[in-house]
Amino acid sequence: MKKIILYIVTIILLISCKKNIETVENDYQLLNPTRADANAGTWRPILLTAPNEFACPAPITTTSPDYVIQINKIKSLQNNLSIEEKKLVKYWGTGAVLRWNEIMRELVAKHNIPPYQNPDGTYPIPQAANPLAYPTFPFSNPPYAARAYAYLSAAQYDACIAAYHYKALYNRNAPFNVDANIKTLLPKSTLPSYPSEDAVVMGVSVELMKLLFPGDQDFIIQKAEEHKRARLIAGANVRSDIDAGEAQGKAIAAKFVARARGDRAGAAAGTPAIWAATEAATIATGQIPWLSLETPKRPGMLPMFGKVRTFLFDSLTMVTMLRPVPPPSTSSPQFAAEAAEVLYYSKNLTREELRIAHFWADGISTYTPPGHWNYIAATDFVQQNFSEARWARNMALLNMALMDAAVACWVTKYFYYNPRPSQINNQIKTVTGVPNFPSYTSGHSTFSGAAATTLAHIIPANATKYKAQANEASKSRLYAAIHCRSDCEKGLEIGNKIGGYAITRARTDGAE
Amino acid sequence: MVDYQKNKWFTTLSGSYTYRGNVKLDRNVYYTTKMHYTNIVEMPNATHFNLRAGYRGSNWIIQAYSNKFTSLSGFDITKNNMPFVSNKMNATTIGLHIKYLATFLKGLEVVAEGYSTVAGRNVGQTKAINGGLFYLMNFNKKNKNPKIKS
Repeated sequence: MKKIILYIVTIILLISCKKNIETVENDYQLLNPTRADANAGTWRPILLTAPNEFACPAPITTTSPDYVIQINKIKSLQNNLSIEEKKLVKYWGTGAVLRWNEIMRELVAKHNIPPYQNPDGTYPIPQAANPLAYPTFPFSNPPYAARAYAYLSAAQYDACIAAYHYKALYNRNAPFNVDANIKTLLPKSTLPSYPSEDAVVMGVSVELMKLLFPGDQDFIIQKAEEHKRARLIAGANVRSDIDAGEAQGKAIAAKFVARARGDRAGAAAGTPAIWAATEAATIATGQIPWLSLETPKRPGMLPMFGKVRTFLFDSLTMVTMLRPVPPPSTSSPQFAAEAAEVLYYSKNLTREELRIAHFWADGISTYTPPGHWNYIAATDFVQQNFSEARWARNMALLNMALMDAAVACWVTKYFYYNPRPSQINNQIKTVTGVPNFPSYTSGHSTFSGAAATTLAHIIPANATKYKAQANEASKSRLYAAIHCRSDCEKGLEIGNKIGGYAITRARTDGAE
Repeated sequence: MVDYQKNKWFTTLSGSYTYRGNVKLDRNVYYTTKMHYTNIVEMPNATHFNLRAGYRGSNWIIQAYSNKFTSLSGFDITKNNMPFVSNKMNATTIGLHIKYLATFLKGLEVVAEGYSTVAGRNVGQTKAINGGLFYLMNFNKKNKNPKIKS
């Protein structure tokens, strides 16, 4: 009898260990805005000269035969819904900006792997024109990712402004208001349904993602098809709402794609001549220059990313306001003391400090630190019951701040070309991979300062939490033994300033 | 486990199934072949087979063996990427194990072993040799003839 009990207990233990894992993204509540933001068509766009810069033809009337056909199409789709179809509706019903942001995070993680070296010790550079050949394009490292999130979010925001403008202009009723027999599987929106805000976000996102992740077009288009189907099945839009939104989104995307092609990111990898000149300039100042710690030595990550066109301020502001004072001289007692502190952490990390180092590492094969802040923002935005337009606007503010933080940080890194502590003292054993670019200032700290400041403005009730998270992310790099204290503190300070520029924009964009 | 012995020649086949529980990370998101917004990782279960055959004498035990370890799920490491805790890991090794129980000094044993990984997936192609020297001391005075288990 005892044996039998033992067997049963063992089986129960085994079953309870396994294996159903709850993941956060499946638990998001459906988008059901507290405020509809019906006036979002009047908000200030980023690149559009006016909300009606791109024409959107007047919709067919809800009494026309063509419209009736579209209504009947919804009814036929709603017959005998499969479990998969219901899941699709629920997935997309949490919000278009949220889901496309999430898809972007996944693509960033997928492509965040540095290329392997050539046999001669040089490194190949991924080519956008041939994205599927090794090394696949892109290598979505933190600067690349920050820029990708920013373009996606900024374009989604402008697209929402246009869509809400035309919604107010044409004021076409949603299908469930036109025909009472249409079932609505989602909370009923009070907005006019033409053009669809979901479709405009989808249309603009698809085009931007095709630019940024050209090797993943099949995946992107499959998601877009699912999104469109989900809207029809849900009874939220008729086909013409979606077609008009998609067309508007694609037109707006072209404007952002043109900006992206001309923003100098394409030249961010630099050339051997530029790499040599940067090193020589640092030696000329009497400082020890940064050296790659990889084998074979890899050129620093995107040395010219500091030249990329920012969203929130101009290049003069960058140099006068956002490039910090020099780091402690590599021959100074302060530098030696800071390196000694790094060595201390590399030998005496507590379990909690180790957890912090891992939690914020966001290294290769992850969505990067900007992605981490997007995740934090998205999870909190879900709780706020924002409208689609406000989601887009807030994500745009966050991601423009994050991209500009990347640019500002990269200006600083390659202006001072400051060595990593473990380059100076090989006793320092790092807890995470040593990033292959100069130390001062810390990218994590700059990103986190910018994000936390921006988010604290968007959700003031969470300000303390964001500040604590940013401080922890910043400290994590010291714990990981890859940054000196000055790198972290100065990075956080500059990041906070950049967040300030996002707040200045937020106060004047008509949404507050 | 099945063991068959005829005279001093033997063969043994054993198999096991490893049921692995979930693993908890310090991170709250990870990417395998897709994104996972959780700190919990589902680990691949695994099978392990071992076949050995050889000579089992009173002074010499000589056996050749093969191990086959197979993950039943998991994903591949991609080029220049980091390994991950739930990678699919398969390995087949072959090896030779020799044990000598000294006749001239009771309790003295010499062991030598070598193996090589001949096939695998997401594992290092290990070759290893090792050796050992044992001396068994009997503290139990009552039992004059201890049975030594290998």
